[in-house]
Amino acid sequence: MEDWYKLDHAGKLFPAVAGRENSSTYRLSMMLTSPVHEEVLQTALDDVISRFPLLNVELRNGLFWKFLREKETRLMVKPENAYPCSPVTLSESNGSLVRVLYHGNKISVEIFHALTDGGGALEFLKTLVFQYLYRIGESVEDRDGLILPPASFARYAEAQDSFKAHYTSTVSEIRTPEALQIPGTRFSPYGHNVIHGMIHASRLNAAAKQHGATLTAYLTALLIMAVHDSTLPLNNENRPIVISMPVNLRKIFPSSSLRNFFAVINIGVRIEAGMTFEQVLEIVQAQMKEKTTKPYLTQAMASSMKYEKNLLSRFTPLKLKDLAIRYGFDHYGEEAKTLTLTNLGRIDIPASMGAHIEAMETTMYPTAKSPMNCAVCSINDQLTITFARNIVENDVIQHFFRQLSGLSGLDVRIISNDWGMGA
Amino acid sequence: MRCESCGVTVDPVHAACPLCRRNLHGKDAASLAGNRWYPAYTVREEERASSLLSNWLAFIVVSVISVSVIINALGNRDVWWSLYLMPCVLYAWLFIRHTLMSRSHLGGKVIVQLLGLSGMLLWINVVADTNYWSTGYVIPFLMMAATFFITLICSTKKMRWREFAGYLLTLILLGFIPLLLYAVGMSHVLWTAVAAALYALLTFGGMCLLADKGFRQDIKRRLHF
Repeated sequence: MEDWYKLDHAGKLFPAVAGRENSSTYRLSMMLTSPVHEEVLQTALDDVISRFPLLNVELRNGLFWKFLREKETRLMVKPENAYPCSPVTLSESNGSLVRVLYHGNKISVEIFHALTDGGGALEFLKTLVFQYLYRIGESVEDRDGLILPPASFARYAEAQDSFKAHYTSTVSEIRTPEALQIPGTRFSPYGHNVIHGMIHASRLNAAAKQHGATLTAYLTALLIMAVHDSTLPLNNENRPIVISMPVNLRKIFPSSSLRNFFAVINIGVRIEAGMTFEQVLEIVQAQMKEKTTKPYLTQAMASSMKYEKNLLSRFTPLKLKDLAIRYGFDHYGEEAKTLTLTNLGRIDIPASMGAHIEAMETTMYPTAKSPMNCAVCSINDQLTITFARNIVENDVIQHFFRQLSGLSGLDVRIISNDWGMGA
Repeated sequence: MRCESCGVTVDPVHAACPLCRRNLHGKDAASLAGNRWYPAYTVREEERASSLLSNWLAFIVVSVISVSVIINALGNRDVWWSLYLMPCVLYAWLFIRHTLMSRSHLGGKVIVQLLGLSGMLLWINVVADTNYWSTGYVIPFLMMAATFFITLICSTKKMRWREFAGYLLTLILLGFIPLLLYAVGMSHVLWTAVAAALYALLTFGGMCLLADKGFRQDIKRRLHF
């Protein structure tokens, strides 16, 4: 019996704005210590996909909203051969919104954002890799309950649209000025260049603590300085540099949903002449503190949901709604930020599993107006900072890693997919 | 391998630093290990033939319309024949671009044809300043014909009901437009408008009765708001 799901609140945005230059598809990968076997990975995927039915779905058009329908076909693993976060097929027939890829020692999942956010995707990847290691004969066990148990899918709790569950009508108008946009030349042929920087996690955390800041605030301030240094001659209007940051709402509102449940906060600094890193860090830290409180996030959630709740917009035909969403996204979402930084945080996995994981990375797709995005995660005390870009110019990334290694005094190991570099 | 310029360690798979593109000393191509993180991409030139044809087509349409308007404006201005030519050219463009060239679903093509043809006829009707023959007779019958066509396709195979459900639903809703046009005074023929609406209602009722349970569930999903 096939099942269907309404798109959650955040999920309604992505199908309307997705395209070649905004794939709305992100990636999470784990690098294992031994080569991946395709057949075993497929078996592991077959084992776990029934636990994540929301991921084996296709997108269908309704009269007023799109919806997700469970697919009758099997989700297959594939060798990686395209650039990271390339667009998924959204067409009605044979469209897959999830890719499970392997290359050498690496297992990757690429997921269309309408299905779930990084939190949900992380649970899927952890469960898949755990099952793969188990299937391959490694002695892995989960004593601390860090992997989702293979019990049946808890539809009510895990497929819940938690935005609706925690909605209150306390709307506030948050007007943000136009942010500085990073200019650049698109890759031809189009694709995403990815650069990973790997660094010792606890030492970097200690470096951030020395400045009295959290790791995310420290990296955000560094990023703002890097954008400022590399775009200095272009920012004549002294527009603010705004880092957009998804916040996992599961940590603030009780939810075990495996679907999207995040809010986006914007951390913006208008840099004046002579401003130091410490001053920028102080502003960032203060804004992050203010914008991650429950009342602020409740209001942010209510503001973004007010259009969905409006009776007129609910009965507007889908095509018209898509046009309106695209306009709003381009003019109020994309123009209000310079780039996105998302931090999945420290990934906790069972110790027996950790011995087989060399590294982990997450890649956030770039878009037309945000041609460079940054994603961070750490596992086994190794932190990976990943920049994905669709433009040739990489001054921001260069400045960022130079400053990071200079300021922290830590060694940063760089690896890239070299897309568009002719290598 | 260390890149002194950037102050970072570069993975040995790279001959040049991914940040500054400087060659890393002492590294020759033969000693490079394969990239453990990423495959070597086979980059294909992007398919441009189809978009080139579309651009040419759009250019021809704009040229024909602008040239005809100028000839008309500079020549005999008693009869504005270019206003009749314009919708025909636009309809021809739609026919080639969407119906012939695109890989859209047949249901989508039928709806676009219906809208395009109705739009063209209504335009000509308005320019000619005659009675609303398009909204009174042609458009209602076009709506019924399109609905009948899709129903016929669905009847040939059981699975097709679900495949065409969204399109059929759209056509049923479009079936009420003639009645709406009559209500706002853009049509003076009531019986055709009522016939189109009745035909849409009967098709919907028939669908619910004759199609399988899966189809009825599909309708429920597609109408959720």
